[in-house]
Amino acid sequence: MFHLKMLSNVVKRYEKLALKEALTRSYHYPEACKELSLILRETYKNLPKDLQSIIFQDTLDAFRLLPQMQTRSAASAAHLLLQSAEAALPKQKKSLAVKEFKHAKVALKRRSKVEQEGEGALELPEDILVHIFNFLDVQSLVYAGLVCRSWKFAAGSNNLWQSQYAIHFAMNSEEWPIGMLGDDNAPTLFYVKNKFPGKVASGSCHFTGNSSKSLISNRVYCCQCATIVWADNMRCSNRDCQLLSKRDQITPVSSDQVVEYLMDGSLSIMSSDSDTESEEGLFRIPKYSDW
Amino acid sequence: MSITTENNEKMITLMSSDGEEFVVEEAVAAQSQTIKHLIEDGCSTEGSIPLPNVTGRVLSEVIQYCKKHSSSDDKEEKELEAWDAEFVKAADDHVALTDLMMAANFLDIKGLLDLVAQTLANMITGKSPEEVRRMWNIKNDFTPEEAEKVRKENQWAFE
Repeated sequence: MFHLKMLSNVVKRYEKLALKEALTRSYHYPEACKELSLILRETYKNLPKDLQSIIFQDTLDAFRLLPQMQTRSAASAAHLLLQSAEAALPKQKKSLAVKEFKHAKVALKRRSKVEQEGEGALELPEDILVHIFNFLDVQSLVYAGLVCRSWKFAAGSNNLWQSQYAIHFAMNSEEWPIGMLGDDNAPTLFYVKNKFPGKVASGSCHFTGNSSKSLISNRVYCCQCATIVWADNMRCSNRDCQLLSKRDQITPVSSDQVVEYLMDGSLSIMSSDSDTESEEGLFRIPKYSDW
Repeated sequence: MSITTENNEKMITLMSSDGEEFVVEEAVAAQSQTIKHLIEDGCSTEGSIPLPNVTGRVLSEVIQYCKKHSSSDDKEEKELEAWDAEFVKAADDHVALTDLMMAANFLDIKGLLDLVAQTLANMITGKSPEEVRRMWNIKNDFTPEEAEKVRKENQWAFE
């Protein structure tokens, strides 16, 4: 039996996940789709009616937005969502969702055909490229370096990697290891890149994952906001929070954890390889006793 | 040429690379650090300020941005943010955005530069190198050996 209070709690938590907004941003679309499809698969049938209809609408929205996304990852995320929708939704809603998806596929194909005929090549001076790359997360920065020679040069800029280092390892510049502040590009880049994969899980920083996956996580739990938020290069995307939040108040979460959080408001993070108790206290969310 | 309007606001004339002239209030033009310095150095007293790197089409957009941002104060931050979002949306594709970015860079307008850079970065984020190339029509100029080497160097990021 659901109590009214519990219902409003789960609806509120769903709203806080901000999936609807995330679907409109091409860089969050795949992950938002993935979360939506996990929610459909694992909990849809147990959710209150009004939330079911919100989730159904969001699913339709996801399909409607697909033609605007230009990535293969978006297309495969939408495919996954369709499968989950087929498995979880009742007959009538299912057929509506399938119809919407088919429309989207056709529109997507038409769109990509038009774009292939595209405009002139884009050539930007290095300082402008570096300025743009300032706003990228670490994985997108690596990808940008693989696009072409001039991009590789810009993406290897010392400043970019220093700020990535600062973001991910929460250090200020005085604490940088010797040799990192050299004028030459190569040593810093080499150092930072080597630092990233292995050390991530080793306790010197606050990552919970055991691979570089945590570097590209779009989803984090923000202690300041006490909720799961979309991350902006390892920062809480909540504008009022950004000034306050520090690197160590944020921890990446997986899609499964998002579903778990939706269901009971708790999050079992920091369980695997965290070795300090203070961290555990910091990230533990109180379980709602009434849920 | 600097003329004065009824409400005593000094006006500045800007000329684009294709000869189009724009008359704007000094406070609006001074959003650009480049123009501000030119005014301070007394370059605006005779005739118009030539901007050889900016076309009329782009300049009119830049002026639109500067007008909005010189007339709003901090209290309207939320509204201004929404306006900014609409502004970059109207620029539509990355070609228009990069034109805008080049102009903001040359004119040294920090707010506009960051706004457009963030928008372009959002277009790159989450795309594979091949998808970025296709979207922005960039030629892959790595040799196969180079491509292999770069891929190996960056293996850590793909795991």
